[in-house]
Amino acid sequence: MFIGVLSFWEFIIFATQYPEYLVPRPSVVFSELAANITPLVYHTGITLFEAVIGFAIANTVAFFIAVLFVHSQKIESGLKPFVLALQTTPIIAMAPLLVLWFGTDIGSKIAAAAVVSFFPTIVSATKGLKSVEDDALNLFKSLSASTWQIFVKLRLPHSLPYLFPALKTSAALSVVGAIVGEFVGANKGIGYIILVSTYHMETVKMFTGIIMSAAAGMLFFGIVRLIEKRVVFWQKS
Amino acid sequence: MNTAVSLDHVGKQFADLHVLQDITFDVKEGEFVSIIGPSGCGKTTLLKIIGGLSDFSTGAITVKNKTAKMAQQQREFGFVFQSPVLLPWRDVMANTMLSLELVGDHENTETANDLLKLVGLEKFKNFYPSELSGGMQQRVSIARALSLEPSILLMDEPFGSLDEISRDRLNSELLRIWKEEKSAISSIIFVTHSVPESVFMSDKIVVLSPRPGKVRQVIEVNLARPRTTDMKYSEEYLRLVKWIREILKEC
Repeated sequence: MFIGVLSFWEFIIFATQYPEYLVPRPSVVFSELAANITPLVYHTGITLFEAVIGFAIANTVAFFIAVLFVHSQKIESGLKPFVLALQTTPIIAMAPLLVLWFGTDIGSKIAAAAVVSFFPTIVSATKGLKSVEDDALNLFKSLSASTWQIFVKLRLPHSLPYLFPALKTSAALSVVGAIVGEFVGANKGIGYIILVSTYHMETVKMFTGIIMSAAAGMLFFGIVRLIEKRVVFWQKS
Repeated sequence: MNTAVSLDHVGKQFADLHVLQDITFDVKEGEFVSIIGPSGCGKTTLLKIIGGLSDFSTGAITVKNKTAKMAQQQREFGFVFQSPVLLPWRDVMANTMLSLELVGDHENTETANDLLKLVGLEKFKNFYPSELSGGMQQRVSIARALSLEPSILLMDEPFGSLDEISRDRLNSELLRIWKEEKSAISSIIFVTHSVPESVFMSDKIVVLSPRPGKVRQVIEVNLARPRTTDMKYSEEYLRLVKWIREILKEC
């Protein structure tokens, strides 16, 4: 199917003699990709690194806040408006500010990746930690379990099936965040490649950048999914 | 026989809403007492109050000369809930071990093994809850409830979600386990909405009427023990079933 679509695309461009700088043929894109694979992988690696670090920071913080939310109604109602405000602000609007704060180096990209991957986790982790059955809580209480025991033996494992779908979403989003960060100002990373090739009207190169960014997102998503299958083994799909 | 649990004009209210009112009855050592009533009559709330998991507004509860809360903290109660509340990430063995773990008795696999044998699940130790039938899951939850050797078992419609065949089987199983030497259970308080089940299992049936939950009648069941399925055709059994049904009709 995939091959079929590419062949059709190839044929249409070839038959109509459509200008290459608008839509290049897949074969040209792939040979460019093969020729430049080393620098492309290097730049993709940079982006992926920013995404992974941003993802790790954001999800750690998000999970920690979710734990606070579950144990204190006051903290939840106090902080929730900020969380929502952060979510509804487009990352592209915040990116220049992040560059101002964290510089043009990878710091601002990590921050951008973190901002976008924060929200799915905090929502799902809060939901997962809270949605423990009443009778399960009664069971633990009947055994005089401590809040810590309830957390470790009940809430935490119970939240994992809720948490992982959010982690998968935020894995893909963190790559988007890193690239947006690179668009605002960078001298390396896949976003930089895409931006520079736009200035030079190097559409073929731009396509290779797009492909690599998609690959980075899928790779990260796939890794999180593999971990999910291992960790949440009891969840039947 | 000594009194294990004694309720003296126990009432509970939320603001102006009376959930339970003037609940008075005793549960003796070695007695099987059912609480029956239409839904919304506060059966589950009453069980939680007895078990020290919920507060009450008026009256007094004594459990072996202690308050309900103290009895709960001293692990006098074993709980079996409506749903088995097994942890899906733990296998049968680990689920049975949960209570022991929570009190710091991590190595006591012997007790867990014995109890799984008692409920007939020794071959399923390494199975996960999702691989078990509803009846088997409830057996695991009974084993877990017995692991800290409570003297009073509190059961909240434990077989309510099972099909009739499994329910009949587990009823007989429960009566057998109760009388088994290995179980330290003396009294059982059993919430149900099935009239035949309550008659078959109990020595005493407390019939509640709803809104507010009040004791409508306390009925002694004079069927011999051990109970057998044949008794379900006896005159006394049928008379009690009919009588309780009539009381419930007026509730």
